[in-house]
Amino acid sequence: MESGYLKYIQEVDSTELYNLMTQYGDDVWRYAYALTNNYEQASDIAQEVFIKVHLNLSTFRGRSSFKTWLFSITRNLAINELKSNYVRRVLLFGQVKSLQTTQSAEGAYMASQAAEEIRAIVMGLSRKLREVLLLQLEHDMSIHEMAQLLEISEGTVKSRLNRARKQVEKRWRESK
Amino acid sequence: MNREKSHWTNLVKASSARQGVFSEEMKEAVINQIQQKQRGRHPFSYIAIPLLGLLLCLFFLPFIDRELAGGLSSKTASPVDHKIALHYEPAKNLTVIPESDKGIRSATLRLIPLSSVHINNAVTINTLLKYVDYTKPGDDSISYFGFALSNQFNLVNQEFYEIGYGKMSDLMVQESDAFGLSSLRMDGKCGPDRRCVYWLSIDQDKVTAYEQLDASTIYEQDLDGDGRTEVIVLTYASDIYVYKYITGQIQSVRVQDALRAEYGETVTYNPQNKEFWVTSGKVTKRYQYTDEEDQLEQVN
Repeated sequence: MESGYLKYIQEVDSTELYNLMTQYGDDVWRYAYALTNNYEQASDIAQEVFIKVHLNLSTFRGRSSFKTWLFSITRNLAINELKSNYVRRVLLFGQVKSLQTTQSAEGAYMASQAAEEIRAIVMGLSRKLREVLLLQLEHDMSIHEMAQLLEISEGTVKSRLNRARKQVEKRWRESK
Repeated sequence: MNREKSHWTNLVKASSARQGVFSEEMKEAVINQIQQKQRGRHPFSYIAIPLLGLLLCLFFLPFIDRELAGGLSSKTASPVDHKIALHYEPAKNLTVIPESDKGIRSATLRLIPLSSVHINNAVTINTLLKYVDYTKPGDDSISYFGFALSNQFNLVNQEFYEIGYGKMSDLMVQESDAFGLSSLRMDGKCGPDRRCVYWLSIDQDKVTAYEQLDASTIYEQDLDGDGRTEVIVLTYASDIYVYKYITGQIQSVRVQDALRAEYGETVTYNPQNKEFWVTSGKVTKRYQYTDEEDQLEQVN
């Protein structure tokens, strides 16, 4: 579905919003998960993103792609969430257990052991490094788009990508 | 190297493609939330509000007439207006707790061997407790925190109690008998503009933590005179909550809601008199707990 028309409209109805969620929901969730490394937080944030889309569509100017705009909302929500929670909300021991159960379910979902291992290595990177790596690998974002989204220079994006790849390769070799 | 690089990047791509988790339930939840907000702005309200106003006028007109006829110079509120019931509620059983939820939740803490973690910070506070924050092997980007009790400080096989994710600073620890359950209270900075508090109930074979995640100011007082201490908390946003032990649970009530404080009215707590004050302009109403169960009574 083409989304360039969205810069010309002020709000979306439920049907259009549903279609946007179908088209972009998984990507938004994956990006939220890349940032938070937390299944429940990613789900929370992803839903909040589309509520904000409904409220703030009039602010989309079309200067970036709609997906980049969505990702900037996702990023702001995720960063605020991380900042406001030194102590994460899933705090108590009982709830920590349920979080571990959810992560095991994700592992079982993946087809191969190798994919599981590499996924763990990538998610084990610092947030800044895994963010650029997953934006490139999962969402095919260009250096320019990432620089726009993250509000950093293209040089910094390239540097982080380089460091991320080197760390993954190193840990991948060490794990064999 | 290039073959290796393309191999792992393909694995990442392949593993991500299987994740897709923005479910139909989530889509429905989003649409429901938006529709609920929209109902608040539904055009029907443009008809309902004037109609409601008319009904209220018809209801109150006789009372107003009576007042004018009687020539009363001051209002005398009925006794019922001066007493306000407090409707306590237990904390909801949630996996992810929203910002607006200030309920107190409890958990039995588990002991962790010191040797199994990498300690980042350890601070002894008032000789009562040693706070630790640490990371675990395999993921040094996630911080956890916990504490050791004073009798555990010098054990050879050191263990400590884990609370969970995150870390705290600017810690204060003191003895406490809050709710008739607590032994110690630990509170500290747990985020920007945020203080969290843990009441620790320490028995011979287990430690239970009662957690509250937004406690800027804390008062522990027996409000209803039953010998069991309640807790009054002011959040960072100056909301006031009263926490009370009721039928085996710690339940809470937001005082602003109970007193139906309106926009422009300020609600404060005076710990000297154990009074809740509602101030509007130059007028202040003062409320205290009554002898009757879970009610506030206006005292001025």
